[in-house]
Amino acid sequence: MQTDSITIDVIANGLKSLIYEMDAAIERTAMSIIIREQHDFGMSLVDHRGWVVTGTAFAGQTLAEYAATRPVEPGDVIMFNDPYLSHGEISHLGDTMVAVPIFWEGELLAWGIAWGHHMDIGADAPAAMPTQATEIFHEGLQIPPVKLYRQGILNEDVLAIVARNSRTPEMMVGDTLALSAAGKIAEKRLHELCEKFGGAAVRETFQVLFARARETMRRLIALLPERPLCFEDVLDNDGITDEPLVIRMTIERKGEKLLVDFTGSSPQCAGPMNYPLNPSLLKLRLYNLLRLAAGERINIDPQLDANQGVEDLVEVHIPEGCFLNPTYPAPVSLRHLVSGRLGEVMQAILAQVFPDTVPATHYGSLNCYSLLGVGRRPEDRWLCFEVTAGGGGARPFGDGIDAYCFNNRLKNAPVEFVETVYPVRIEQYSLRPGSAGPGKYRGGYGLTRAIRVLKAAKLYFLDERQRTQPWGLYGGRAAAANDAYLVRNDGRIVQLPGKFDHLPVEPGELFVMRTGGGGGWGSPYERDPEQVRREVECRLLTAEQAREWYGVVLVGWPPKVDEAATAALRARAPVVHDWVDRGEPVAAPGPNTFWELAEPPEPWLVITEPVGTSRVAEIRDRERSG
Amino acid sequence: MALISGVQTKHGVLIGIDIGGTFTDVVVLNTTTRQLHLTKVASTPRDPAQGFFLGLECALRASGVERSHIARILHGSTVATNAVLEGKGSRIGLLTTQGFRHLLEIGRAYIPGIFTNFMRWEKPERLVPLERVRDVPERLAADGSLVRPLDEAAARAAIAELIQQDIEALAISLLHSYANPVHEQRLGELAREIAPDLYISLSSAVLPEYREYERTMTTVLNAYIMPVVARYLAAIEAGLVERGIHTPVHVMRSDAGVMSLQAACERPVNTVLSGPAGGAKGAAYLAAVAGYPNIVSLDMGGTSTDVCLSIDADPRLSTDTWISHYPVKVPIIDITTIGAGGGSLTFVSSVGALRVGPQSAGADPGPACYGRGGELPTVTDANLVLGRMPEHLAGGAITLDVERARKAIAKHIAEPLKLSVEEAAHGIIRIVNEGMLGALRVVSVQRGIDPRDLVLVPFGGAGPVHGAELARLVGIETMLVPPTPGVLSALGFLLADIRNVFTLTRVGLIGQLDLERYNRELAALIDQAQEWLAGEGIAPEARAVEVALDLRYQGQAYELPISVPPVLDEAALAQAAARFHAEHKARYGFNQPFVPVEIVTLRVTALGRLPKPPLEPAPEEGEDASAAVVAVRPVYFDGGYRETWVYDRSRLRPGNRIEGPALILQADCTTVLHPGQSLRVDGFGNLIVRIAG
Repeated sequence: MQTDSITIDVIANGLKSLIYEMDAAIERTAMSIIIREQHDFGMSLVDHRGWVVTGTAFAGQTLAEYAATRPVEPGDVIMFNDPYLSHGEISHLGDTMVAVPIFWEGELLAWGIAWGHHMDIGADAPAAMPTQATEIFHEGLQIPPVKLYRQGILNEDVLAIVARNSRTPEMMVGDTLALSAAGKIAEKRLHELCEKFGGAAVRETFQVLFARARETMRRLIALLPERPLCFEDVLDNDGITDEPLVIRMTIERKGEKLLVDFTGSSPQCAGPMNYPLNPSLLKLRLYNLLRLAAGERINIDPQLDANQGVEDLVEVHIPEGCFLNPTYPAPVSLRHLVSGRLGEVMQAILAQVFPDTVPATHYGSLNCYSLLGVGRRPEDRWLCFEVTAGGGGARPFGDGIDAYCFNNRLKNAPVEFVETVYPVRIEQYSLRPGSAGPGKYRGGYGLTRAIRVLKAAKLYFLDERQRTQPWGLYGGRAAAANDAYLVRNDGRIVQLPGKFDHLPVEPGELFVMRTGGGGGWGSPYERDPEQVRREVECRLLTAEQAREWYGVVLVGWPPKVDEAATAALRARAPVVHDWVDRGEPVAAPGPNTFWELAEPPEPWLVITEPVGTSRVAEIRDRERSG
Repeated sequence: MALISGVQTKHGVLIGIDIGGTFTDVVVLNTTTRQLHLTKVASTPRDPAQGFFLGLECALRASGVERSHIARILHGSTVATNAVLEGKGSRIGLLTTQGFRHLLEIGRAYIPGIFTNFMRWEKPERLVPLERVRDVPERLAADGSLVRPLDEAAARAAIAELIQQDIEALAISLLHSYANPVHEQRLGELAREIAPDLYISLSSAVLPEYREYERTMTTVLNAYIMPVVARYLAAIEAGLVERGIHTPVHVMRSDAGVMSLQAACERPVNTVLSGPAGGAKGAAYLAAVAGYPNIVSLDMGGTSTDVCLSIDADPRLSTDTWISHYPVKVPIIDITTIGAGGGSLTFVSSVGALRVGPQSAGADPGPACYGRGGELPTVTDANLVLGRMPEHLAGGAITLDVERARKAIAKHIAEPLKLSVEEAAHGIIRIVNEGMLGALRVVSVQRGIDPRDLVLVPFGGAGPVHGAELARLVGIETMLVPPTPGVLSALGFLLADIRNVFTLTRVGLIGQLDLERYNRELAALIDQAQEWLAGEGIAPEARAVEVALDLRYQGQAYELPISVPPVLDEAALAQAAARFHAEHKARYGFNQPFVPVEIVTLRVTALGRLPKPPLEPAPEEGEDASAAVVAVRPVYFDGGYRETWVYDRSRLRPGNRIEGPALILQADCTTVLHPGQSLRVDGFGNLIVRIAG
């Protein structure tokens, strides 16, 4: 080593700081609420080969290829969103990558990159998430790697094309420029570090950081047994064909290396649920998950970043023609749902080895909806887009997180913000009683969100895990699945499928989402009866559920635990053999199928009488008396 | 002399009392003789009022000031903050709009932290458990219009149920109450009818701004600490009367203003960071008087470091502060806390990286050099080994063990990294300073300010030890060390003005506004501010009212406050929009002049100017500082030890100059001057350090 270890760490901390600085800059300068408020963005520092040094997970093969085939000069900024040309580094068109090449002493040293999910890039549905696409051409504007800036000069023509293809052109431009400005911060700070410590010391620091990650990953892999570990889970369907999609993942340690195999997963599908899974990104995810699951066992350095130093320790095999390795131009716009389920599968595999740290699974959807105003005037074409949270999985030491979004950094939009900006009224936003997977530690509660549409609009929705329950672990039970409804002005309650576009909604109609809970952990018969009692008093559980699920017998109101009856009931606790409880299949409408319900599902809304134009309670009463 | 601001200043003795976690600081300033007395006594966390009076009496004895000569007492304490941090607030209830009973449970559905650990994070306890939350049938629209009338029968029943659960305070927060408080006010009346002694906190009064979770949380916090703070302040008031002191007491606010005891009882949430606000105000004021209005202050203590920017002599304010797990949206000085201080533990990680913090040795066992059983080395140990701190602290009360510090660093850092003890100790300092540099840059990018344009004002026990090196890293040219870095908060209290903020969320697009309505509402806010100032005893000539609009690009979720005249017209709005575009460009590097600008919130700040202690520079004497030299010692700087002059700060005279390297010692802190740097003592006793490049 040429550079002393203290200087290496000073530089390493400087690199970490520049990521934080980029993060702060994007949050404060982007325009769309998906980026600003819901934090759907990321940033990294990538070396000249395209390897991530620090920051959020990304792989930079695209950038390396670009630099190898075309001139890249100081002041250039590259942008792209093309999932196929980027080998799945960007895996659907809604995310745009902006990359700033950083030169030192005439040589390409690194890239400062930032990506964000735009509010809209055209496509057949807003927010770049059409559910009925059968080719990537239906999914919005495809941007191959192009220069947004050339030697410091903004390419306004590119920006004009991009803006013209968006339903929200100002946001598209604002967000792109904000990402580009963040990349420039990386350049400035890296230059400062090079000036202070020399380019060689900075390059050496990259190598040390790769080596640290590799060494940590090597020790983590050594904790795994040398036998195949496997898990299989399904996605409801691709939005077009009524067939479940299987993710089957097997990992096996062979000496120092880890082999990952997706043989047995479903073939490429007709709808946009294909996921161009980038192997390098998968390795980073595995590394991150292993650190969380087993880091304490090797006294891990908590401040390490994930980087591509782990690259050669993992081998990934994704069969040709698999929906995780699709062929151009297969549609991919809903790939984040697949990516989310893949995370659950990895979690279940690790739960078999590290039962004391790995949680049960979460609600398994993102419950994204868009409302697009219809009408001839420009002000009629409003666009409201939201992602909703559900229940987090129970942990081996405590309850799951209520109102949790598996995209960790996401924040919900305040009701009072949404209502000042869009013609909607959110009439209920609450925990969904009974949705948490029972367990010694229960899963997190899912949510109920009821949105009254006040002006004519079209509804777009994408949901998952409507047909399977979020699984519980080690005696913990499965949780409630996701579902959604539309209460029509004529009183009909329609249960909605998980993926549809363009559903016309009249003013006054009510869209209701009930998001899933998190799976439970450990036998519910071991849960502290007082905790169960509290949740009954708070009306999150019914007395019947307390008895049936938890073996807790309650009397009176406010409820009290009948200790003797509880002990007697709990003495007959059912024996659980399986380490995972997947619950039962759940009935839900298939693609383009809408079910009319005879009466609303339980539990329904708490609103006791019509709010505004609502006729929910009236309808409910009529249904009941009829 | 006449009554100024309702405060008798005949004899001109001002007293600032700051109750911190460990010490209670009392500053007694005789404005006639210009004598300043500092007193430190141990805090009494179980009964803070006891420490208040102990400190006051010690200070009066030491300064010889007579009780009847006290013109004003200004006070800040950790009572409100500790109630929150320790979960020792009151038993409270909450009323919400029907359908939103779980508002606090859901929050923003967000897990804090940048790369978060979803496997481990546990949801913190809510300040009001779900059993004591009731939702009532009612609903307003975003514009304040009625969607559904308040169901009074249901409301009475809900209130009665909560009162049966022995609540001491009630928070009321309904959707869109910022736009129309009518339902909240009616609920307040109903609650008072049922339980006249109940403490009541309405969200439309505490924080009439949109974002229901943050507004509700702020209101709940206010209710949670209301009874605690009211009891505490009543004890202070009674104790003063008992001692024959009839002076008005003002309470320090978290926005660096002060308010009356009565106002503090109603809005205790405005006092949660009174101590740090005093420090920031003190730093800003002293630096401004010395000719440096724009500063970054750095309060480095044992476990953490608070950074705050002050522009034009006023600490910047933020409405995005968290106390423990809870967002507090009232204006609070814009402090960023960095998890590194003198007591931060340092270790070599599993991959051979040198790490500092975030764990701290705390006061017990403390750093290895305290000799109280601390094994791991801390930042203080590193400074001690390098000779940058004296072996004796607090005027000889604490002796530090250099050998223990050396051994700890040798064993835990130097040997694993194969470095000399000095290299290891210096490495620790470099890592700490680099961490602070990074944090400072994040603060700057978030605020859109270039820190190189600022003067660094370090205070707190460890601030002046690290200040000069940090300034060099950031590219700051000047550092100012105030005369009393250890008691800056209490001194800052004496420099604050009466202050309150009145806001109202009224969303509307510039260019399409009902101007008459906006002006009517602005006038009402201004009236409210004037009335409040009158109630605080401020004479008309000492009052000032500042008006601002929080503006944003249409549909965007962040606002910037832009000053406007008290009456709006088309020209004023056009000018405000233009300034918004400019400010956006300055802060964020771009703007979008083609996007419409929205008003979000009307913001009226009420200011009552209080007479300030006279600060005039003493005449400068000669440059020669040799009379203050007390020792020469070796101190480690880059690459080796240098013979370094040690000065006693109390012997330095205005005009003295010192060339680095040098140490300047005073009872509660040490200033380190590096080779190539120089300092001058100004007429106010500040050390003005010139940082070489």
